[in-house]
Amino acid sequence: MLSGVVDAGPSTRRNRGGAWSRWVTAGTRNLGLIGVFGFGIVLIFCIAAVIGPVAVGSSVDRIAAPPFLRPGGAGFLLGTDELGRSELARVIVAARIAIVAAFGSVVCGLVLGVAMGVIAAYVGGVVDQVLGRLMDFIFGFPSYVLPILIAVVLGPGLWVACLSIGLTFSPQFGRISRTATLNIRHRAYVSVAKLSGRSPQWIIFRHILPNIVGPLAVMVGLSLANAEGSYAVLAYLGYGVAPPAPDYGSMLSDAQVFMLNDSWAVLFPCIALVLLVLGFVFIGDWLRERFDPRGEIRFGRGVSGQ
Amino acid sequence: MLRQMAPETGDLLTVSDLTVSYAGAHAPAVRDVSFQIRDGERVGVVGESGSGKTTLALAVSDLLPRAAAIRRGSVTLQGTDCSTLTPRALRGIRGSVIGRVPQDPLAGLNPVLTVRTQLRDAIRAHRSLPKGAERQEIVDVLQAVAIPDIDAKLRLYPHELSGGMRQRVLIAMALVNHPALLVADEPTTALDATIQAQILSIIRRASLDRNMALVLVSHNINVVASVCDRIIVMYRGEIVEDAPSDTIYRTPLHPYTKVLIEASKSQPLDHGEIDIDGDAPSAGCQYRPLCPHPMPQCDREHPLLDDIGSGRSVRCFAVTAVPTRAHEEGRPSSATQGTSTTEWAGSTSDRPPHGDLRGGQGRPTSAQLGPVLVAEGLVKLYKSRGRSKRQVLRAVDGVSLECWSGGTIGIVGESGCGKTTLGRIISGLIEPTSGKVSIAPGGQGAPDPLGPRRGTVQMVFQDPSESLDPHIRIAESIKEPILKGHESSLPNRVNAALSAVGLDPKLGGQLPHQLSGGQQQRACIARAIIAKPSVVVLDEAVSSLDAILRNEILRLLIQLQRESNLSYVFISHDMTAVLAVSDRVVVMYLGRIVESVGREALKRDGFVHPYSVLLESAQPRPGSAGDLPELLVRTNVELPALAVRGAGCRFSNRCPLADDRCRTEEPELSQYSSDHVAACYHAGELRQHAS
Amino acid sequence: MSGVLKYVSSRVASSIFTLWAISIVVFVVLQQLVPGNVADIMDGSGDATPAQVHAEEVKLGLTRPILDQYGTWLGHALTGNLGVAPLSGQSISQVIAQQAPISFELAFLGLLIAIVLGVPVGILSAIHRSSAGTDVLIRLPFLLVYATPVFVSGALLLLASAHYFTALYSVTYVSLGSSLIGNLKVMALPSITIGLTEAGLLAQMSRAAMLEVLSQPYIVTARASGLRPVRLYGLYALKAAALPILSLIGFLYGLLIGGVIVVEQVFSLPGMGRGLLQSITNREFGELEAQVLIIAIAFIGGNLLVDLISPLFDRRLVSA
Repeated sequence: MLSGVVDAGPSTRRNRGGAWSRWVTAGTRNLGLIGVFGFGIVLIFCIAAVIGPVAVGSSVDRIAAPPFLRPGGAGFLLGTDELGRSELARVIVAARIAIVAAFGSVVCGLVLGVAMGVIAAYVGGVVDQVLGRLMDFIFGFPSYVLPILIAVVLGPGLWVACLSIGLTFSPQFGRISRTATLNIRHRAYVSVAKLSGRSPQWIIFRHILPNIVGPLAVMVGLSLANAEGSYAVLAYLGYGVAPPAPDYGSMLSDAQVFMLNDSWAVLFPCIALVLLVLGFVFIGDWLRERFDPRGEIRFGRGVSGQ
Repeated sequence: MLRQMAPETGDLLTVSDLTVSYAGAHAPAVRDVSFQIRDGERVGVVGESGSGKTTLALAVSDLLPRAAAIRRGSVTLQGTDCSTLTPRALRGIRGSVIGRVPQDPLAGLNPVLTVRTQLRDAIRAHRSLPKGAERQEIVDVLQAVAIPDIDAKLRLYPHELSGGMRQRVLIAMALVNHPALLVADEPTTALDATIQAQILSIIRRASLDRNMALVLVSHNINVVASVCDRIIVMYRGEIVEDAPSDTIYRTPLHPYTKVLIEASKSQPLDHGEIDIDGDAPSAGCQYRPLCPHPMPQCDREHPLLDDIGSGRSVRCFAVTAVPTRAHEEGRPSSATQGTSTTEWAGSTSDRPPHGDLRGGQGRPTSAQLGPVLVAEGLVKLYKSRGRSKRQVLRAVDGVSLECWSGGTIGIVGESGCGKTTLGRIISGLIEPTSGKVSIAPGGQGAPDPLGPRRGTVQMVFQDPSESLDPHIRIAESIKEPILKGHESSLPNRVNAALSAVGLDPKLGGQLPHQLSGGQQQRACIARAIIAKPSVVVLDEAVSSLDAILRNEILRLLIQLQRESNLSYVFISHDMTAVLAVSDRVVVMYLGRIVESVGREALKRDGFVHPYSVLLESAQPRPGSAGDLPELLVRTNVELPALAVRGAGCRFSNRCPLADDRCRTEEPELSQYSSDHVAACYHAGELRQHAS
Repeated sequence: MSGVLKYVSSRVASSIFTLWAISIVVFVVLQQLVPGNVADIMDGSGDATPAQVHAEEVKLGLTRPILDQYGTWLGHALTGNLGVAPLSGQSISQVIAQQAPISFELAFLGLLIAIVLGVPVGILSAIHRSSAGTDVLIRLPFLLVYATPVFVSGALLLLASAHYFTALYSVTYVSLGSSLIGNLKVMALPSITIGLTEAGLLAQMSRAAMLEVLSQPYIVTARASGLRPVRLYGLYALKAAALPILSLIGFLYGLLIGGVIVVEQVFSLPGMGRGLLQSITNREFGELEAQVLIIAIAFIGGNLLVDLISPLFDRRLVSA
């Protein structure tokens, strides 16, 4: 992990190259090489997500004249897909869906999971048992089964996917919050707050939540990459956003048929997706270095009740 | 690897000018440390946290973590410089020439391997013996550490042993290859007093029997003095004094040593808080900022460790600048007057003096002010699930007590006696299974408009670093007990509270990790008193602190009590601390009160219940490990689990005075003398304990 | 002994309960909440009258109260009769019996590859953690594979095999029964796809687990006893890290099963994963229910196995 100090003698080197190189050096010092890479990539995708659809505009759907599946060339930088639409435009616009999918899922999972875990640990007793069973139940669904089922019931779509993927992540967030809350529940400052007559809500929001951020952050890092990958799979299987909205997973699924001969349409969404996931992975690594350098936080099922 | 004598000097271990520093630290942890240890010599290293004693111990046993490096100097073992040894050779030394006993017994043993496996591996790492001989070695060493029922214990996993047992297993692992040197770093800090006394005795005996040298590191000078013949005192990485144990007690020379010894007896101290984390002066003597009698030289020059004869060395200009004649005569020189510690030397008194921080001043008699806390018949039961028979844990089994307004009731007992649970019941954090707690409004006169409902309790806890929310600034944390109230006067109250506990109000804007341990604990005390509670429960509030700091806090507590008429419930396993601050001492054992005595009565009668006597005699004193009181020798049994209890007196299975009546009928608390009750049919019979 | 008994029974009971809960929820959800049912599908052309559709529903028993339907289904299922798929007419048990072994084999092989590749890499990189450079270097290829979604890497591998190593390229499934070599040839690429993806994650997490163990005080004590590195790392560190790594494997198992579903799609393997997707499209709920349950059984059962093995590595789990 190349985090930490990279540039050992900041004061002795003059920063030539002006502002840009100063940014990079500062970033490297705080984030490490990996962190810079990760945040950088995700940042680029976020920018694409925000301004992309506006900038690209209608050219997303504009269908050009045949032949389709043209490689990069006149007018179309990255070529066209099987329906004649601009690959470049579609790749850029699909970034929005990808970013929303990843962050949306993680946020859903966090809210659900933390609520379950903290309440289970704080209240204890029967509530703990019931919530624990609930988490086991959700966790018992193998990957994708639950999101697929939910998509079948509610109809496929981006927000449905976020909710359902978030739901599948909630047991892990729940377990981590539960363990972390159990550790803190008996700390002196919580006891003092109780003795002072503070309400449980106050204690949870002021003392418990801020102090469980650490382990959660590590899990968030892991989950971002996972969420992106899971959404891509869902989209590939047809449960993502409806066409003709561009979406890496469905683009890949459509283009896969032509892969043997015309690999253009497959290549670019693939690269974009892999880059984005890598970016999330690196962010996850940075978060892990920052919050859990000695690897104390463990994932996995554990014994029920842990 | 057998032991050899170093050819030239006969020294087993020589440390020369050793300097160790950690990556990223601005000052070295250990600086220019030099000393020698002979074969079979027992040396204690004393210092507070930050003094470098642990780093020294690690360096000597070559277990420095990656972050630390030896910058200068050397460690020479049996004539060989350790830095010249290959990693393989070093591995050969570890465990066979040098044995090490770590601090935390649970963490020191691998939880997934049995005791037998770990002992066997300790042997096999260095020797390969035939099976019979190997087993014999294991049995021998386990007997040496007084572990009963050896065959059964070998099969157990560490978590199935009690704390004292685990520590003994660790000692056994260190001893099994008959090392020439044993390094023990705070081996008893996590243990109860009685078990601590046993372990220290075991260590000393092992050293005597095997002619094994010993380096015992501790922050508690009494612990070290009870086992070792020679004491090295460290301060900020340097040795400041090196002398035989008895002379160091009789005539401590370095000002820091004097402070340490006084603190160990809970004597009043008259200087500010020792702040190891603060920056050391860049020139001159490191102790200068705290020294009561500095000389002009001390600002400019850094004193060296001087050998002043009769086996003593000191690093202090005040001492060495004076002609040495005074030292040879064994009298304190003029520069060290004002520090009498006559109570230790050749004292015929068997009991450690009850450090009297209160100074015995006249106080308003409590009876006039009425009780502020009344607890009646408190019982707390825990059902332990999962056993075939529903066993019930009687954590607190019928406790009644009173605390008078403005007074302190001290509750002392070992782990498992229920004192912590009792404290939580009194404060209201735990509901008792039966019984009642009544708390009168605080003795402040007019009701406090900013405070919560009357009759409240606050608590101060053990570990200051975990007592404050790390994300919240000190001032905010301190404000917490005050509910929605008059916001405008809040800042003043916070500042007032900070000043009252001796903290600079500017510290209010800092985060907890920016404060030292002592400052954090003071902040916790400020937090506890700001809303003017009726009672403050202090649960092991000073147990994590080094001796000097501990005394500071105790004095602060007494001062606050005088100023604001606070009432305390002071809970601790440390008898000395309890005796220092309490008006009334309550001894608990297995959920019950076995003795309750007022201060004057205690001076008059002493402790009368056998368990209280045991507890008191277990406190370490110089040389005490050498002759363990008979009482301790006879109570070799580990404390029985709370759930398992027959009829009769709870202490009967360990008590040397137990007779049939004791074993069948449980004694009730009965009057022994004025202001003195005890639950024992033989109260007072066990008066001579340190034989 | 009572500690062991208590532990085993609580794990088994918990697993059964979860399984049962899943079966109810899935059943109810499918029957009640999903728009459209088998009757609609059967009426593909859409020109049957509502009455006819309704009659069909009655015939299939779809109009009875939901819990009634569940009870009947459960009763039949426990005796091995999973019913008949209305569309194809096949016995569901038969269908499952055909599909399941493929998926299980795939999952098993994938897990094997992931463990064999990932765990040693992770552990070794923890032991030799001194150089940060080699650490990243080792993990980079794994990271890349992990970042690539399963279907992409699968598709790429398929593509590559079509052009370069055609020996492993095949589009028809050969069962284990008929030919071992043939079967392995078919399964090679899919299982490598899954295995590689999971291996990266497993490597990273085993490294973390091992690092944590190595920072423990008892390792320092063992080193103080002068233990040789082989024994120190091989037994002391490894055994202590075994439990967390084992539970990691349990965790990964879930991701793996998801991978199976996708990979079967990519490589056109007639396993249960692909069958699951088809059942959804065809609204074959009986089949879907059975498939979901079998997958859940495999998953929960696998975790149960991990839980039951764990005490071998850490006695503290079964202390009463």
